[in-house]
Amino acid sequence: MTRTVEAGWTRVLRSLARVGAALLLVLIALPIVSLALTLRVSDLGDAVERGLWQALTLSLTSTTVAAAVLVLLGTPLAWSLARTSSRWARAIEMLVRLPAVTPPAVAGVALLAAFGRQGLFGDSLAELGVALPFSTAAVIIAQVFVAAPFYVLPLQDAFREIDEDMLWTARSLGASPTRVFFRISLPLAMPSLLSGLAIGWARALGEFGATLVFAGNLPGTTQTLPIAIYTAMEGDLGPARAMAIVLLVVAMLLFLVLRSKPLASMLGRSR
Amino acid sequence: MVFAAASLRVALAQAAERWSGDLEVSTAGSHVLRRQIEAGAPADVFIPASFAHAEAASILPLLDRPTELVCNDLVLVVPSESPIHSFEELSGAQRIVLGTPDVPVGEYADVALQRGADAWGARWRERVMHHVVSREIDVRQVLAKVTLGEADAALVYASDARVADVRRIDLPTDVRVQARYPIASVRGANPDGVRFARWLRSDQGLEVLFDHGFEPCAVGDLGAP
Repeated sequence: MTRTVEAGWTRVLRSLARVGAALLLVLIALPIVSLALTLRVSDLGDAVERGLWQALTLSLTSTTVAAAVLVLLGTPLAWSLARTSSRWARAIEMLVRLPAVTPPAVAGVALLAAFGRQGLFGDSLAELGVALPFSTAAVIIAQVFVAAPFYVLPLQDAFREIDEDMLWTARSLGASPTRVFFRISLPLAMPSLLSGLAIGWARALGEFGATLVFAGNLPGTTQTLPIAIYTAMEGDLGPARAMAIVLLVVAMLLFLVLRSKPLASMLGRSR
Repeated sequence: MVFAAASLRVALAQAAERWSGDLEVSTAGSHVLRRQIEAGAPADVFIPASFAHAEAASILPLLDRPTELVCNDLVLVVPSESPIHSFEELSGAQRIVLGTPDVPVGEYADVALQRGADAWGARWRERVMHHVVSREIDVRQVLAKVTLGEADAALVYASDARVADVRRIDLPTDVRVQARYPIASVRGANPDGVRFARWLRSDQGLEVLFDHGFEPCAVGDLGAP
C-alpha cells in the first residue's frame, strides 16, 4: 500500500517536473523562434547597408581581445582566490561578483567616474596622452568589466576543487610550481575555464549599456553589433532583426567551438 | 492618455498640473509611441517631435488632422568654461557629440551642419565631422556626454539645454534649425483628451511650453528633414 502511494507521488512529481521544464523551454524558445520567423531576406540586405559587417567585425575583434585579457588576467586572479582563504580573499571575491549584478548603464557611469576625462584617473591618463572614452579601448574595457565575473568565479571554484595532496605529491617529486600549474591544475580546471570563457565571451558580445555610456556610438570605432542593433531600431525594425539574428548565430558558433569535445580534450590533456 | 515625445516630459507634467481635468501622460521616443499607436495603444492625443511621425501613411489614417503645436530650436551646448562662443567656432572643438542620424535630433544636426557648410564652406563641415566622436541614440545621452565633461560640444534641443548645467549657444539665423512638433487627437479619442489638446494650443497651454524652452515656430519650415 505505502509503496503504491509512494510510486504515485513519484509519478506526479515527475510529470510536474516535465511540465515545469517545458514551460521554461517555451518561454526561452518562443521569442527567439518568433524573431527568426519574422525575418525577411530583404532585411539582411538592409542590415548590410546599415553597416552590419563593420559592426560585426568590431564586435568580433573587441571581444576576442577582451577574452584574451580575461584568460591572461582572470586565470591568475581565479588561482590566487582559490589558494587563499583569508577574509580579504572573500571580500575580493565579492568585488569580482559585483559587475554581474550592476545595471550596465551604471557600470558605464562607474567606468567614466574612474577613467573619464573628469574621472579619478582622468588627469593621470591625460598626462600619458591617453583618452579612453569614445575609443575602441573603452569598448574592450567595458566588455572585460562586465564579463569578468562569469569567467573568474567558476574557474576559481574549479581550482578550489583540485585535491591539494595531489599538487603536493607532484611538488615532492620535484616538479616546479609552474610545471604543476600548467601540467596538473590548469588541465583539470579546463572544462570550467572553457565554459566560463564561453559565457564571459557571450556576455561581452552582448554588452550594450556600459559600452554606450563609456565608449559612445561611432560606426567603425565604438559601434558594436548590439549598439548597431539598437541604433537601427530607431528606424525600420527589419534590419535590426536581421542584425540580431546574426548576433545570435555568432554567439551560437562561439558556444559550439568553446564547448566542443575536441577542444576540451586538446587543451585538457596534460602536455 | 497623451502620448508625447520624450523632450516634452517635464513641460507636459507641468501642463497637466495647470489643466483642471484628469490627465495621464506617457512619454518616449516619437517612433516608439508611433509604433504603439499603430498597434492599437489607448492614446487620445499624440505629440511626436517631428511631423514625419504624424504624417506617415501608416499612422495618418488613425489621427485627426495633425496641426502645428510648437517648435524646439536646435542649439549648441558647451561646458560653461568653454572657449567656444559661436556655432562657427564649433570647428575648433576637439570632441563633438551629436545624435545618430536615425533619430530626429541627429537628423536636425546634420541639417545644421549642412547649412554651416553653405555659410562657411565645405572645409568647415569636414573639420567638424572629423571631431565627432559619437552619435548617440537619444538627446539625453548627447547632453549627458557634455554634462559628464566628456564632450566639448553637442547639438541638442533648446528644451534640453535648459535643464542642464551647460552654456547654450544659439545658431545664427541662416543656419537655424527647428524641430516642429505636431499635435493630433487619435480617432475615437476620449473627449477629455480632445479638450486637453485644444487647451494646450491655447495661449495658456502654450505659455507652459514656452516656459520650458519651446518656441513659436518661425516663419517657413526651418528644417523638418
